Amino acid sequence: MRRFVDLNIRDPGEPRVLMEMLELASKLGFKGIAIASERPAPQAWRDEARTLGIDLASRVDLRPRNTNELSKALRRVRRKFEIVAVHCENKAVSRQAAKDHRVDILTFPPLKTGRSRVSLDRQGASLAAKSNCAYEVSLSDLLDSSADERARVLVNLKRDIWNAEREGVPVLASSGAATPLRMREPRAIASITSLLGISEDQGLDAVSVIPIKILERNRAKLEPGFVSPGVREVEGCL
Amino acid sequence: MPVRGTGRRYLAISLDGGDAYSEQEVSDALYQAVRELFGYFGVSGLQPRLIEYDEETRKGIVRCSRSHTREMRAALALITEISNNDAAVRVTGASGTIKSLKANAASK
Repeated sequence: MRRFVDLNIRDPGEPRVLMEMLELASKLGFKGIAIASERPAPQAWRDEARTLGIDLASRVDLRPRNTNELSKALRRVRRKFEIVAVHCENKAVSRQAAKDHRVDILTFPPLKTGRSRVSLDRQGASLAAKSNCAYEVSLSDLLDSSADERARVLVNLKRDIWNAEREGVPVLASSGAATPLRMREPRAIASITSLLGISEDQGLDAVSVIPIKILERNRAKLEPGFVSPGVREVEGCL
Repeated sequence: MPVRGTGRRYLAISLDGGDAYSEQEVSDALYQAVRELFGYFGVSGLQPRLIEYDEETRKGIVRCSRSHTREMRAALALITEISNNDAAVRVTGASGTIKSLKANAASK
């Protein structure tokens, strides 16, 4: 049986609403949630989530304006958060983020922000595949857009996913919900990927296998004995 | 000679947010969501239909073409308002017959 994980629930700011969201997530069938916030999730929240059968992780979303800001921010947050996502708002940042092994998830604006839209192009996807960065599809991008914009968002996401699949970049899907009303069940999030040309199994993997892999890999990295992938200190060997 | 009918899928839905909605309002929202996402041609392919809706429990059953179940789920997921009120439609179960859908819902 699949274990579903939503790696992008935005911190609503109020603990009461957050608890409501955790309860709803449990009811909807999620086994794991990552809260996107400026500060790591406190242990009390994790304990509360565990009683509901949810594994809580903390995520940070970086919005650097240039590559220097990105490097500084990564140095500051990498050891504090389980998931690090970078919003690529210009091409230089997107290239640097795609190259950096400390970045877990790449997100792109769904619509044009300036003269042209920064997207996951083939070169960026190739770099992301080498550094094991995942591309994120957020349901909130579609929910927050008007009916007219939705068509454009779908075209843009489809193009990005085509590049991601071609270069072997893992694609993950999440809700991006900041309120309980914006939360959807895992299969609904997976079904959105059907609009983007992803097969049913890959769509379900995008809300289960891929986020779980990212979470497990990063938790292993955050363990005290970790040296580098595949190498860790073992107590009592020397 | 028996003729095989078109395959259908029944989805149990549950509404969240806003006021109490009438069956007509939910049905309209359902059609509108499919039409906005897939167009009139899509409506003919998905064949969406609200089979029943209980205003008190805010639960209902939606029927669609079996080969388009994923698209139907996507259209339902993208409903954000019903009659100008914020709302969410969530699928709580899916089955090939109304009988087994209700039996599954009762056993949960």
